[in-house]
Amino acid sequence: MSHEATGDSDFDMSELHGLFFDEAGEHLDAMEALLLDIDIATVNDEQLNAIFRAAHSIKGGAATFGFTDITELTHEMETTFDKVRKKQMPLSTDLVDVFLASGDMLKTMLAFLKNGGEPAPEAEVAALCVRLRAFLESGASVVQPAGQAPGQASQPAAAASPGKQTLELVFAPLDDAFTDRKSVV
Amino acid sequence: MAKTILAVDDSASIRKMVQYTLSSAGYSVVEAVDGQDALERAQSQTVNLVLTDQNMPNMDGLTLIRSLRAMDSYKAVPILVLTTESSAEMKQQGRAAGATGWLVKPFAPKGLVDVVKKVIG
Repeated sequence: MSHEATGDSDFDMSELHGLFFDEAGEHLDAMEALLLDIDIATVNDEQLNAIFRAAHSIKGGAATFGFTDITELTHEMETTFDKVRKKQMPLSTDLVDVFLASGDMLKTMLAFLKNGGEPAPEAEVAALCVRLRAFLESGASVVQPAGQAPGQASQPAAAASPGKQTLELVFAPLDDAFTDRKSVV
Repeated sequence: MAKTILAVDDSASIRKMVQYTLSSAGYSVVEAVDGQDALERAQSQTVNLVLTDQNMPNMDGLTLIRSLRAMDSYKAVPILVLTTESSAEMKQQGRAAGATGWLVKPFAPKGLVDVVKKVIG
């Protein structure tokens, strides 16, 4: 097996990280503009999808580059907003507020990764994750029996279709802890 | 001659990561920023494998796969989806659209190369 592709030595990771920081910053600006402009009564699918995609894209990049704290927060945002865009949960001003706060927190986290200085306060990040999950739990209780883990609603029963294994190829994850958690949720 | 891989992702950082990874392994990589861009590039050149994200503006990965599978020249070309989407529902949709494989981000560079080698040598 060739060794070139296995190590990080061939990659200029700082360049890739720089690209990710720029992208994430653009996504956050776009998301903030949408959230500030949103009218809950008349919000349309395009706006909802754009907000979802911002969180989704940041998560994809953060997971790829191993920024676990950003991955975790955007994972909660994505999971919650997926319900909203699929009309399984209403958009509320509370949710808009939490998203704005989460966006600000992500900016702090990115600034720390880029420039150093003050790290984002872990307790506040954890508190945002809890607030985001609370939406999911209250929303999910409408569509599933009590006692079932909320995340299970997003894993439809179609999982057991025959032949699935022939399609599915899963990479060795960069971060086992995160991936394990995700597969359980 | 090096085999050509069409790498489709709206994220520039992930495109670069994929490009570095596969170029280091000896493949020639063509980048596309979304499904629409990928479709145009696929029509104008020969591609040995398509590696695409799912959630993208303009045209998503599933629509790209369906569009490629409708073309005679792409009926047999392997198409891998590289995405953070891991639900069985999405994988099933990918399979129905004609995807060859479904790879869940984050990816380890060596893992990506191993899968690509397995699929196109």
